[in-house]
Amino acid sequence: MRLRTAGECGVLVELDDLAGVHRLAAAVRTARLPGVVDVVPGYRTVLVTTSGPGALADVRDALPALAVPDLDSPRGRLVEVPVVYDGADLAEVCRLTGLSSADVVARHTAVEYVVAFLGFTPGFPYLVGLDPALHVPRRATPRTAVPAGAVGLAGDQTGVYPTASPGGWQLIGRTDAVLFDPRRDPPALLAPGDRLRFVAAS
Amino acid sequence: VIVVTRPGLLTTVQDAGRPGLAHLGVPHAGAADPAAFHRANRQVGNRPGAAALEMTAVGPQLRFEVDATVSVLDRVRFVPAGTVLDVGR
Repeated sequence: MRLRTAGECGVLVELDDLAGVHRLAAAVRTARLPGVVDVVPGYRTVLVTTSGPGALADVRDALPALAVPDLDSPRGRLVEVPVVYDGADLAEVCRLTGLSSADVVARHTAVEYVVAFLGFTPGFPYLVGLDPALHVPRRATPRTAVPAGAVGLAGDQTGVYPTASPGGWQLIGRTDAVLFDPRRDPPALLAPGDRLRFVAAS
Repeated sequence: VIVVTRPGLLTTVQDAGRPGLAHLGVPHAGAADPAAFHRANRQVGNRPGAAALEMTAVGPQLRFEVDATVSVLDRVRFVPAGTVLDVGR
């Protein structure tokens, strides 16, 4: 665990792997340290922001004791997301991978993904576990508008667009699941550490 | 009601933002100068975190159709209905 200063109110904790990230994030939340504002997981980091420099000093001091490597990581909820696999880039993904569309669907739905973290737009999940056979480059030209619910591939990543936004991922399908609703509590369907399975729907 | 008679260069409505949701992909956002934002609300007796106008470089011109108390650059003043407030530069 390595601590890096992130502004006058934050500290960025670097860890060895995603399991360590989720373990530390859960431990920081559970500890309810005074002055903590946000606990933000990334692939290999946890950003902890605080209400001010005084609180930050106390949080920095408390962090090393919270990184407990032999603790089992809390098992996240399993969320199923139904997908209609008729994306605008499905044919291109088949061409790039040499797979039939049925194979693309089979490989995309076969995995239990881990929600590494959320970002890009509110509720957008970065998922770990994509089958290497489905690794494809981003589109050469991003779309100015990707509809809400679009399911995409990019590199070793797959994700779902919670709201309409610009985007460059290869779109293979769409879901009716509402990934972000500001009137809901919590507003995001998924949280870091959750598990996700795509289910083919018609 | 406040009528915007000239918007200024970059005038936006800001509150205290959405802290505590960054792990869900929701940025903190809110007023760029939180200290000034909270001070202004205290000075006019608003609840903490009430929305305010954030003004950048060139301020707006506002016509007040109701009596109001405002804080501009740490100066508190009463503006009776009909006042045109020119924040300017």
